[in-house]
Amino acid sequence: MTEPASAANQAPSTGPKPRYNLENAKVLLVEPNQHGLEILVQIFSGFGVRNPLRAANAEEAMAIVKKTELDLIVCEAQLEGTDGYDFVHWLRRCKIEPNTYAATIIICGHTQISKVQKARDCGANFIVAKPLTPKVMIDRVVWVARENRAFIECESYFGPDRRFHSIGPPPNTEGRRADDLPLEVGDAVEPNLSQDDIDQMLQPKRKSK
Amino acid sequence: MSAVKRIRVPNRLAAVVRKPGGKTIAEAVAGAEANLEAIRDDCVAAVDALLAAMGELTTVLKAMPTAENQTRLYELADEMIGVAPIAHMPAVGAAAFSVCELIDAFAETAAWNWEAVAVHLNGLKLLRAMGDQIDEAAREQVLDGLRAVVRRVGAAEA
Repeated sequence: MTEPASAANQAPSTGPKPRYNLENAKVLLVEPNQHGLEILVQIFSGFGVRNPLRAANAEEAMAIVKKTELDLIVCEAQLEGTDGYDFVHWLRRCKIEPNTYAATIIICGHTQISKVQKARDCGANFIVAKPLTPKVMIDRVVWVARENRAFIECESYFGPDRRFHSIGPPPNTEGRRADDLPLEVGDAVEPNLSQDDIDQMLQPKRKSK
Repeated sequence: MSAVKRIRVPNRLAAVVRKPGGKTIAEAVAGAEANLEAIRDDCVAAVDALLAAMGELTTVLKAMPTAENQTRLYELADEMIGVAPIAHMPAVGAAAFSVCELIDAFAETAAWNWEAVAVHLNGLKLLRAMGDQIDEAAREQVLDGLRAVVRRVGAAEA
């Protein structure tokens, strides 16, 4: 996934700084280790989240998903039994609305080579590597809150569009979307626009003082 | 080639965070950092407990290098990656990351080398014991040494 710019860096340099209200956000924290969970709770409480929901494994998390409408899920990748990637895969396919579309961040210490593709394809909005810092975490939360990516559903994937930028289909592929264009620019199929046509499209006007 | 469906849904998190009130980024970070500082001692104790458990397991692994025991060591090291930096011991976290890399290399290559594990445990103990007393250059030297061990194990078995 492409690294997004820091939320703080995106903020305008003048005027009041933007505020983010997480007080009433329904946040689910999924972490199997007691200390790891406490770290997450302290970080999100510091952000203003009141009483984040907690789960120690995927089964507990699934039970919460079935009965509570969630705004954000933060899930550790390494869970006993069903791992975090499989939990997010289940979430995206469970059809429990609105949670199936809930913003989801996976956190991980070390990613095994065998799980890199699973991590990429699970359908999380973001994957954050430990060690967690409040700065990185709030940046990612704000980034996920600001994003407007469509969800993509196909046989092999259900989750936020993984194409962060309009850069066309992956290299050496034709693309599967109706609006995918070939990378090579072909010959013109219509007459070129005249200068008058271009001028009319641009409609240049005198700059007001 | 499968069909692709694009679905537009409202971003619930965006709607929540836009409500009046809340915190600036700086305030949110400061609040979280203060909370983490309050649990720092607990995290130091957790680092020591994890290190002790890794030490016991390394002894067991000498005689019984089973996949189950290797996975358990990986899990302990993975937990250490998250806890050590909150205890202000980032170098211990980095050494724990190297343990995970080592165990993952064993899994990928079906290899086993107990000495490489023991070297990592000693590195972890050294970095924990030295704490702030070790300067950055020496700390990086220890970590580079551990990473070199991982590379050598991977290369030898490739």
